[in-house]
Amino acid sequence: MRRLHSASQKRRWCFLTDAGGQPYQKQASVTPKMVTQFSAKSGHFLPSEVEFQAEDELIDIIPNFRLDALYMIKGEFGPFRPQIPTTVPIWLAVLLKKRGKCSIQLPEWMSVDELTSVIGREQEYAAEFQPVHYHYIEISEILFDCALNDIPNSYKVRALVEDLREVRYGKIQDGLKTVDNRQSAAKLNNLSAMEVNMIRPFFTQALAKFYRLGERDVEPQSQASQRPGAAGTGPAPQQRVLRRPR
Amino acid sequence: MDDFDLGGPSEQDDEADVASTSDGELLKRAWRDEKAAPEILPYQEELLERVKEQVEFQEELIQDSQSDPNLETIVTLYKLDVDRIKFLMRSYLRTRLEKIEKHAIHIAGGDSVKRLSPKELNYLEKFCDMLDQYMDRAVLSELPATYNKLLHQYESEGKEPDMVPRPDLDTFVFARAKEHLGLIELDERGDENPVTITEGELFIIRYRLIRGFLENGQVELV
Repeated sequence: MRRLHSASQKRRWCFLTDAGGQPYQKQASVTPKMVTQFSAKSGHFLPSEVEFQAEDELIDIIPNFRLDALYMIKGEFGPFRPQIPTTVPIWLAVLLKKRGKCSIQLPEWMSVDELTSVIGREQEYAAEFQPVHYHYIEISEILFDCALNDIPNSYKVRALVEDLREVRYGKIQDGLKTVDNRQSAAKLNNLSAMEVNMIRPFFTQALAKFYRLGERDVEPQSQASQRPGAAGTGPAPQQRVLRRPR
Repeated sequence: MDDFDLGGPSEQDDEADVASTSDGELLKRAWRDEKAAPEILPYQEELLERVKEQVEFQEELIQDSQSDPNLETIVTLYKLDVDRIKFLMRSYLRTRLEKIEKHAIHIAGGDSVKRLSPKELNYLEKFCDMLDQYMDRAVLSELPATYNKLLHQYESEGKEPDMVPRPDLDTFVFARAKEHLGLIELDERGDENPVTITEGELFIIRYRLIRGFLENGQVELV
């Protein structure tokens, strides 16, 4: 029922990757024109730099070798005993996996059940984003890339992660459409790292333009974009609930 | 084994959990903040010194074990650990240099000069000299006397410099609240209502509005 690399998906990837400068997904056939190499200037993060941060997240592995604990700058990992699960950062897991020294345990949130239920909730509550792992895109990519044989039901999991990404991406797109010129902040709770990075160039520049144009705009316009009470907790009477991407 | 473990970060954020206050994490946060902020931030001297010491210690260890073929895998693991930290350090320093070059005159003439490390200060001075000389030789000396100033459009007498590139503090940034921030006034003109930001929330906002919070470590940029 699902094609993994449909044409529309590829096009979408171009959009996602172009902004950051470099294709995040190595397999994606991005046309050379779209891939402009920027150096990562201040104010921007390359997709590879976002991935770099994700690689510090911890994951469980089952080693097949014996080794005392490693005392690294990033912390103490191990000791490693055959068949005894231990927790290491992803970069370490990947290195060991590539050398055939361990198998990687799928994180709980990447199980078929969890993904199915979060996609369900994501569709049910169209107005907000569900909490997902902050680095879910990067981590799933890394695992599909190097530990596919450790993932039970890998085909299904991959399709589900794609679905999740798509549902959320649709919401992001809808959310960006609602950006207006009276807005100088927005809450983006539960957005993931890669999603933030993806909308960064457009979102920051759009708001900055609006802001600059607004500076010259002297007449006070009271906009009716206030929605009192929505998700409201605060007793503050004038509290405006910011639009969030829907 | 723990000789190089210097007991982690200093005084502040004692309530935060250990994982997010290891030097590696702190460096990552400093790097992220520096990359995302439009202006140069205070140099994290103590942190960088601590990390540098640890890197040197680990590199010595690696050096000592490198010749032993039995340790090949382990050495690779340690090397990667060190390389990742070194990447962060390099990128952090480069980002700062990029900002120093971009806003050299502004930094040299303002309070942000206190945010530089001694080496950066040295770099800044030399850069300013070179910029001055170069501009003078290439352009300014050819212009009429009223227009030949580096910092003024014309006739500098008693006027504020008006040709200095400055960081744009009205850039929008993505930030995460590390603690409850309360009401934030979004607009000096008052036609936008303030917003309440609570701990852990992710938001996009004008840099100027959270500048103070960033300085106190109450928000981090992402």
